[in-house]
Amino acid sequence: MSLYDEIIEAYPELTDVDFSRQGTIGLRNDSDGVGDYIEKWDYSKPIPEGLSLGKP
Amino acid sequence: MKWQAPAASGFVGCSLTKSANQSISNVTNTAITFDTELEDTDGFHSTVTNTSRITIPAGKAGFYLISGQINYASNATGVRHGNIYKNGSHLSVAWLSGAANGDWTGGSVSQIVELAVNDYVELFAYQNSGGNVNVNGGTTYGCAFQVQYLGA
Repeated sequence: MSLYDEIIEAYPELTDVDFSRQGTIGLRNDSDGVGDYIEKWDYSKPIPEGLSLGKP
Repeated sequence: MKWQAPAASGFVGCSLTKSANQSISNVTNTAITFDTELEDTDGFHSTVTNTSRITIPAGKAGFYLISGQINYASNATGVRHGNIYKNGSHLSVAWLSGAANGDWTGGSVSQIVELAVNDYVELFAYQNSGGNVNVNGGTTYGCAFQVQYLGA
């Protein structure tokens, strides 16, 4: 399951607007082998359990 | 601001392409990697380490024209962006042509920026199709990234 899918599973009300540049959530991948991570989290609800802000 | 006359020795900078497609996750800003150097006059790029980066070498601080071309695989849903990042932070963005089935979606982003020694720039892709979409590799229809030194 992708990082995006995990977030949507926790908060199915989120839309693509929330993940846009002007949105409340930013996902990023530096192509350095680490994989996708949460770069920005300004959503009104907490980061889903098991996930964290920033590069692992 | 006055541009310096081009050096007598000619082009200074680097020009990169990628040989293989790269998968871009839905709504995830992703650094595009480059494994082919068409030109690299001063060791701006490595094909082994941090292959998404163009790093300014010693003695080459100054103004640069940065430009990137991104071609996405056929897919009709969502938008496509191309972004330039400097030292890991967003610098500029281009909204590329509309996604389409049966053809690739492509476009370019460019900016003139003053860069110091050890600054690095990257080309990031973003798409919101709802699933993974490839950016293209290959020298004919693949992605490209380049910097050209304009002067100190």
